[in-house]
Amino acid sequence: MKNKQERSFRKDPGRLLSSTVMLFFFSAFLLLFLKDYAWQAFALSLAVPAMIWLGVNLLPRLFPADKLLLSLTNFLCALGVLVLYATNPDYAYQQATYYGVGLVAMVICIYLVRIIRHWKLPVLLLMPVSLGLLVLPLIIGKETNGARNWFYVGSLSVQPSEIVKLSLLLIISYFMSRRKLLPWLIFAGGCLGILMLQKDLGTALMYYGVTLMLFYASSGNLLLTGVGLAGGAGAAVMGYKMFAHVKKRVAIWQNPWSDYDNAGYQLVQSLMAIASGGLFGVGLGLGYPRTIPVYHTDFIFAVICEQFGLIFGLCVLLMYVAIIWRGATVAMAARTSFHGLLAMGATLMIGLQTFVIIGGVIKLIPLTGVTMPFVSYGGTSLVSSMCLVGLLQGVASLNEDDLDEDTRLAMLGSQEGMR
Amino acid sequence: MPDNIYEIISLAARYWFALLGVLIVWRAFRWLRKDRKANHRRLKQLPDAGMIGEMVVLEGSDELPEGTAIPVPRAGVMGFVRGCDVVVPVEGVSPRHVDFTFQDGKGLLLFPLRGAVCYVDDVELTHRSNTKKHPMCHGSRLQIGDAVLRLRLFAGLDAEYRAYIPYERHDQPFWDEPDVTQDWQDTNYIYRQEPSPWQESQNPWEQQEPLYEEPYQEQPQEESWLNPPPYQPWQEQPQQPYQPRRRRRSHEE
Repeated sequence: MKNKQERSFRKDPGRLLSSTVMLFFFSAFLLLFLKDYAWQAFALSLAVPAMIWLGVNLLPRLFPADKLLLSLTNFLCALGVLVLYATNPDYAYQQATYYGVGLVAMVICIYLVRIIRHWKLPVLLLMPVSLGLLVLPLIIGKETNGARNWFYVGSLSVQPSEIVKLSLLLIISYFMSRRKLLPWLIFAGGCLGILMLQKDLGTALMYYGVTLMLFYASSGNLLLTGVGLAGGAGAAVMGYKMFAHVKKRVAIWQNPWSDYDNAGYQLVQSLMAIASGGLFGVGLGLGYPRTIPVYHTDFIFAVICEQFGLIFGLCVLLMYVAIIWRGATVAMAARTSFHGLLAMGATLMIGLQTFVIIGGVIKLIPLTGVTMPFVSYGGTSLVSSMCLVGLLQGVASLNEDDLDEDTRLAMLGSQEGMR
Repeated sequence: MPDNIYEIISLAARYWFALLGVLIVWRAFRWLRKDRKANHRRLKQLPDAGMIGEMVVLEGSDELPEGTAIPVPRAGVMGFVRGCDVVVPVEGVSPRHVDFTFQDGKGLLLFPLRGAVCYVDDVELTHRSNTKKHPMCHGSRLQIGDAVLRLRLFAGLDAEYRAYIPYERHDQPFWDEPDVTQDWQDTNYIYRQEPSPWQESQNPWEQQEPLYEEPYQEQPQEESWLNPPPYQPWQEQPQQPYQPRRRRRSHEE
């Protein structure tokens, strides 16, 4: 009997998954340590698996968290640290710090979703604060890569659109669940207008897509969703005609080789890196990932494919699919429409962002400057992605509580019936 | 380490990493599948999970006979077609007639869709009317098309007036008052909730009669020499097989 128990203990899917993840990072950082015997790599080979173990096994003891989501998000975050260490260790140390901050932010988000029962006041406060934050780069920001979506606080760079996407989800979910049309329409319209002024079209596309899909999820009105989609297509055509850099990006997407040493350089290098990686990659710490421009943010997927190969790249994509699947399950099981829409919005945001950036990197759609969730270098991006997972985890834990309560009530009912 | 040796090790390790990547994905999807099955099993044992109450049919049709209890989720659509959350196959009901959502502390809020009309406790509601002023509470009557339904909320929900019909009903003449016990006689529901404190504070002197009286049951008398316990011969109980405590799996937490 004891053997049977031990066998079931070993077959625990959470334990199996987290142990595989830990083994992966231990061996990967150990390999990097062998390259130049840097003690930092050895320290990371112990610290990253320890962090994953803490994240997956210790956090669920404090609150009922979803271990699968925790394992997969931890894997993707640690993968970001690993790839950054292999290309530029300075970025990796910063990313590891942001990873820790992100874990704390995730826990805070879980508690907020669990504790706050009346969202009216927080949502009403968030509306002006978010719009104010979004306007800041227009006033004190600097233009980089054709978009003006950053501002600097000392040496720290902040991208407010990454923070505002959390409040966008909360505001839209709250008002849609209360069936109030005007407030969320005004807020989403305001956000999109400001993003268009900043020329941050990738983020605008994400905001627009998530808002439209949430509208369909809450109302089920196919006609109005179709009208919204047509409006979006019209706005895209207008954007193409109005902005020169949009025209340029579409032209590069159609044929990057036409201007391969200037405007199409990024995409050409990315495609060449993916191709040179082949099925199994060129090997960790080998190859020339730094020849790809912005290899640490937008094109990190190309670096992953070059170092680990297409099979591993496909595995990373499937991990995002698993996260989206889990998120959709959580949203469907939610008991209130607000929590359902919140979970669905967070899932859609992660899914859409992944699609936009990976589609851009592999030349499926025109490239827009958004980060790859959890993996790309960037504090704001990583922390906001972890917050999205925190919102999802909060709803999942509430679902679990509700199901436990239902079980308790059903058992009470059956006891009453037996009396 | 010399570069050429590192290159050999790294080239060999790439297969290891690909294998681990595939293993992680396989285990994640296996976990998802296992969880889905476990959830299905759990929800099969809890048919009322996620439901806030039932709509009891007072007047229906051949397809929806009187006395049928339709479970009501927290939010959804009520209408004629099978895709709706609450299906009311009765004449006069639109394919998608009314949206509804339950709010803690208020009750079930109805939002009739464009062109649809329904009546909550004889108050007409359309998509233009302020439907939040007329929530459905425990015992409220809903007229939708030719169907008449009565809402029965499950216990433990944080809604006002959940125990009895709202107090204003007592001002109506007695012949208009619906016979609650008569409405629910066809279902196996026992109506024995206490009046809410709100009602007691509104009407402290009037003694309210319970709407349902429990059937008389003989009370057990105290044991004495006049009233000895009935003779029960000792019987050997079947021994339960030993079942060790099973460790809780993480995905079952």
